[in-house]
This record gives sequence, C-alpha cells and structure tokens, in this order.
Amino acid sequence: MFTKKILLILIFIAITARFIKLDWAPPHLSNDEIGAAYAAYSISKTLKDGSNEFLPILWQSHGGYGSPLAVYIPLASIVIFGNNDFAVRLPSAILGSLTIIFIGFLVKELTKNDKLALVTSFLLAVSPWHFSASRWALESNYALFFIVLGIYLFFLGLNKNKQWATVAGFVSFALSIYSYYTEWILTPLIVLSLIFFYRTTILKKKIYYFAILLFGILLIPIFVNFIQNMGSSRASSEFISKDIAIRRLLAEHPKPIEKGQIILKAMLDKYSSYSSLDYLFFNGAKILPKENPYQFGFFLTPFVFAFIWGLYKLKNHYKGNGSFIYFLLIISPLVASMTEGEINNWRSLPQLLPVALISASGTLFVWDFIKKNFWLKSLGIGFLLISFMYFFLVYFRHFPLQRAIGYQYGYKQIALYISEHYDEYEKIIIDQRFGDKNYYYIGVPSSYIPFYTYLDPVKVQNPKILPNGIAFAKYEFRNINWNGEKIRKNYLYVVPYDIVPNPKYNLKSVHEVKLPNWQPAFKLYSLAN
Amino acid sequence: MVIATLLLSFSLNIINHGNILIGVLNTLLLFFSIYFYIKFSHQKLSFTRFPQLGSPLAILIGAIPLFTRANDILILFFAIGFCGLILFYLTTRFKKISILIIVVYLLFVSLYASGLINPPFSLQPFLLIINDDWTNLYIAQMQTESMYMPYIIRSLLFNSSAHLYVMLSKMAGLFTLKNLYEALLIANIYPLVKGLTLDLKNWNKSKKLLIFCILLISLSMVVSRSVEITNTFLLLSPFLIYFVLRGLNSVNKIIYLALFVFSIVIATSP
Repeated sequence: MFTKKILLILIFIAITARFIKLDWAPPHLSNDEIGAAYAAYSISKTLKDGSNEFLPILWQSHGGYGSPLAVYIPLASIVIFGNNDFAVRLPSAILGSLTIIFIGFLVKELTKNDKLALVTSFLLAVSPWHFSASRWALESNYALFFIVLGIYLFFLGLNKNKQWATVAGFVSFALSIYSYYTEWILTPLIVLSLIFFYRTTILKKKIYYFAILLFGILLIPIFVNFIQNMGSSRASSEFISKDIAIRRLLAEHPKPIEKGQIILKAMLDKYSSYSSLDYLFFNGAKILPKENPYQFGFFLTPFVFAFIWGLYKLKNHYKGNGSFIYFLLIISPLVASMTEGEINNWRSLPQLLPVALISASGTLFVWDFIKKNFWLKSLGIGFLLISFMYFFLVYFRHFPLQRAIGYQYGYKQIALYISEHYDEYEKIIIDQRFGDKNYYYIGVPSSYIPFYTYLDPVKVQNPKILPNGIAFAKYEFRNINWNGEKIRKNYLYVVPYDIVPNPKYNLKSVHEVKLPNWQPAFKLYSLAN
Repeated sequence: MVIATLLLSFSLNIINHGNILIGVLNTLLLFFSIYFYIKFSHQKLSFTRFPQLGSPLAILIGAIPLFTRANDILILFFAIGFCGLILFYLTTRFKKISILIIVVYLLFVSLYASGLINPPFSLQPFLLIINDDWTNLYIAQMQTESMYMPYIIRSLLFNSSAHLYVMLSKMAGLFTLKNLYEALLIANIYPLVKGLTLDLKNWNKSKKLLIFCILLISLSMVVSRSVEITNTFLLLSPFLIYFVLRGLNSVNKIIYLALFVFSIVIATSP
C-alpha cells in the first residue's frame, strides 16, 4: 500500500510538471507548432485557415498539409487563453496527462493487476520523451492519446460487454487517424490485429460489425480530402524512396527487383535504428544537440534492464494478451521506418506504448527480485532518482539554452516589441533568415508575427506576393540586402544580428533580441532622427 | 553435417576473398564456435551430424556472413585464440586461473580489435572515448551553463563520468537488428532469440560465463570512439553461435527457410 501511495504521488508530480513553464521549455513555438497555432487562430476568427480555405480537413502547412486535429484541438484553448505559448501547448499537456491515466486503466483491464497498472503509468509519467512530447503542441502526442484510449475502450467493451465502450473505442481509433500521419497505417494495423487476436468473440457480436462500419464511415472525409490533395500531401512526399542516398541508389539500379531490394533494405535499416536499445533508452528523446553526451531515451536509462527482462517475462502478467503487445512492439516503429529523413522521434512516438507495457512488466519482476536486498534496492532507486534529476536539470535548464535557435527563437520577442510600437511605423520589413552568417535558416516570421500581434486574419488570407517574399498589412517578409535597400523614415527593419547595415544609412538599433544563452539573435533598426 | 557446414563456409570465403588463408581462418573460427557449443552443452563432437540437431537446416550456419566476410587476419587469429582459451576454461580444473587469463587476453586483444593499437605496437590514444572533443566540449559547456550552482555541485554533476554513459549507450547500440543481421543474417536472429529464451528458462550458474564474456567484450570494445562492429562480433562469435545452435532445434523450419530466403534478398541488395 505504501509503494502504491508513493507511486501515485510521483505520477501526480510528473503530471503537474507537464504544465509548468510551458513558455520556457521548449523555448519557443516550433515551426510546426506555429503553423497549427496560426491556422487555429485564423479559423477561430474567420472559419478559414491562413490560405483562405473554409474549415479545412487537411490544412495547408509550411511545405505540406497538416492533419486536422493538429488545428482543431488547440483551437478552443487559443480562443479561451489567447494567442500565447501556454494556450497552444495546453491541450497537449492535458492529453499527455490523460494518456498516463488511461495507460494505467488499460493495464488494469488487461491484467487486473493494480500495481502493474501504477508502475506502467509511472513509467510513462517519468518518460523523458513523453514528458517532452506532452509539453509540445505535437499532433503525434494527440494521436498516441487516442490510440491508448481506443485500445482501453476496446478491451473494456470486450471484457465487460459494454457496447458504448466498443463504439467509443473505434471512434477514438478514427480520431487517431485524424491526428497524425503515422496513424494512417498504424491504427488500421492495430484494429486488424485486435480483430485477429480476439476474433472468436468479435465475430460473434453484431456491435463490432457496427463499430467497424462506423470507423470506416468516419474516415471517408479525410481520405476524400487526401485524394484531392494527392500531389502535395505528406504520404506521397515523405516515403523513404525520397531520401537522397536512396534516390541515388535507385537511379543507379533501375531494375524493379533491385529497386525493391534497395527500399526493403533501407526500411529494415531504419527499423533497426528505431528499435535499438540506445535509441529507446539512451538518446531517442533528442533533447540536446546530438554530440552532447547528456542525452535521454524514450525512457530513463535504468529501465533498459527492466525492458529486456520484461520481453522475456511479459506473458506472466499479460497471459493471453501478451501476443497482442508483442505485435504492437513489432509494428509501432514500422511507419516511421518507411519515411525519409533522419530518425524522427515524433513519428516513432507510438513506440512508447508497447515499450512502457513491457518495461513496466519487467520493472515489477526486477522489483520483486531485489526488494529483499536492501543494497540492490537502494542502488536501483538511487540510479532512478539520479537519472530523473539529470533529466529535470537538462530539460528545464540546458535544453532552452542549447536548442533555442532550432525553435526560431526570437520571432515571438520581435512580435511583442512590434505590438507595443505598431503605430510608430509605416512599414515593418522582416528578414526571413535566422541563425548566423555561418548558416542562415529560413524561418516563418509571417506566421509568428500575426499570431502574437493578433493581426486580423483576413489581411493574412489575401497577401501580396513579392519577388522574394510576401506582404500583408504593414508587413513585408523578405530578405533584406542593405546594398539595394531603399531606407525610409518610419520603416522598421528586422534582421539577424550579424547582418549589419552600412553606417552611411544612419540606421540605429531600436531593439535587440537575445537568445536564452544571451547570444544575440536579431536586431531591429530604424532611421535615426 | 559439421563438415558440410564448414565446407559451405570455406567455399563462400574463397568466393568472397579468393584467399585460402582467410578462408581457413574463418572456417576454423566457425569450427571452434561450433565446438564451444558442443562442449558447453556437454555433447560429443560428431562430424557427420550436429548434436541435438536433426535438421539439415544447420548447414546454413555455414552461410553466416560473420565467418565469410571477415578478412582481418590478425583479428581472426585473436578470435580463434579466444575460442581456444574458452575451451581451455571448459576442460581445465584451474577455473580461476583460466578466467584470469581470459580477462587479460580479452583486454589485450580488444586494444587491437577496437583500433586503439595499430599493429604492431602503435598506440592511437586520440581514439580513446575519453578524448572525444565533442563530449569534453559539452561537459565544459554544461558546467558553464550551471554557474548558478556552487562549483563543487557543478563539477559533481557534469564531469568525465559522462564518458561512461556514452560507453553504455554505445554498448546498447552494438546489438541492433542491423548489426545482428549483417553479422548473422536475419534468419539466424530467430534461433538466436529462441536460444536465449531457452537458456533463460534453464538458467544455471555455468551460464554466467556467457554473460560475463559478452559484457566484458562489449565493454572493452566501446572504449574506442569508433566501435568496430565486425571485430566485436568476431570476438563474440562462440557465444552467438552457441545461442543460434541452441535455438535452431526449436524453430519452425518453414519460417526459418522463409526468413533465410528473405535474408538472401536483403544481403544481396545493391
């Protein structure tokens, strides 16, 4: 009973920590977050997104199409709390916290073991990657919630013969597909596996036929929309064959069999990376730059032993349901392995579910094994506490300092300055580059600025296209080349800090934006009187 | 059956390398690994059939890439020497001394296998994990960013022990699916897992030798910044083959064959 109370307190603390300082860590809304946040703000005001689309299903994001719930979930929060980081990230923190609770219910439903349920919730609560994902407006985190909820409701319906739960479970599965692209393949695989593993019960009951039919009907709008946007949707643009190295190999080997071999091998190699222990328990969370040794995996490192042991002992806890969990473990990195680019922990977020179930099972066995040995027990708890302390320090202190640039840090601060001085300027020209002269990235200030300054979305929906950018209201978003720039009075120029204007222009710096590590990021100039 | 397996391995070696010495060494290493399995599971060697294995599938062990692609003669000698020492441990009465010899031998050969010493005696200290510039740079940066803490706490939290964490991470990264299927073929991961499970079910104290050696080899190989995967697996070969052969008897033969065909498709990918 004492252990259970301690676990409950720790889970509560870990859940509460998901809501603290949401505007500090991560240090700034990311590219994807601001895309969804702006679309939500725009829809809340005009029922149209930034590209003038009326209540879109797949909305136009930066360089592709975003999933529907990425916009519609934070919409209510933005309406209530306004255009700020807390409002954008709050739904993810809530759904992440609910995932922790529902994974416990799921384990209880599968095993009738209260302690195992608590340990599983605890494991997810202190998982560095889940903690991190819950503090981001991350659509894959919404999808994970709907998958966990769907599986829980499925088993509730199956074990307790509750028809509403069965129907709600399949609705939840459909919502997971509306949340993120990984689930377009993963969720149907989960549904099919549930039907297969529990076919003896399912095939006898009419409610399942109805639920599956409903699931199919609910998916019609998104697939119709997908087909309409076929050319530019992610599914067609992010397949592994688009990888530069793979593309080159495919071009060198035009025979269909060789092409098949190349793609199969590339997928297998990626699957191997996603399923490796170092990714899951040492560096998969990618919180700090990859060369930094203070990395974290999906779960805290000491749980690696519990995971290995859990793989072997899982069936002791889960009996007949063990096969389904092994199957989940096998399929959860599958979709991420089929996509191009570097290893992406957003796409492989569903791995959290089977790895948490297996590691929790192993943890309980390891705990039973060591609990009579004071020294081993102290060592285990000590390692766990040290790992969590490191994670806490790294996440709240070093992560914002070391990764701010990657989050386009500075545009929010620029917007806040502009909000206060908007009437003082006739035109505001913002360079789209950020970073430093070694390498400039291209940012999306055209989303950040109108979002934080509450600019009327109608003005953004009808932008003027410039030769090297866009313009709306007083704003121009384009590269500033000081040599060719016509300097005018009452114009505000925003540039990366190291793009210094020629002194002959007599421009003075009116404001400077610094990164959390006090390095300069942007400078704002206007003509000196 | 053992002879057929060895012949298959030798033929593939000749095809791959065209060098008889490498072929002989690789085949010898495979033979010693099989012999370790036989000795460790208290069976008698028979060249005409695999002990406990009624299936001709065992011949396919000869196609394992680990014994057909390795071409570093020195490392092959070291691996064969290690097999010899392990076999010596199994047969001798002087267990403690032989364990000590194995540990010293492993620590010595791992210096060569991990590239820390280039033959004959050229030490490469810059390859040591503690000399990783990035890691050291970030340790210093983490300390600088923690100026709000007293110096003692800062240096207790962020110090060279981070290298140990990197080593553990590299150790965990040794046993990825990719490394396993490139060394053993996908098909053999199936009996490997079966063998591991069977051994866990029938756990006894003698199995500690396997765990001890696997951990020691892995740990001594990750002291280098660039982990030599093939060399690590060559040193681990008696244990890998032990688990594969242990599990081969309980695999579903049709699945194994299907996986073998799939392995060939992947292994021959451009």
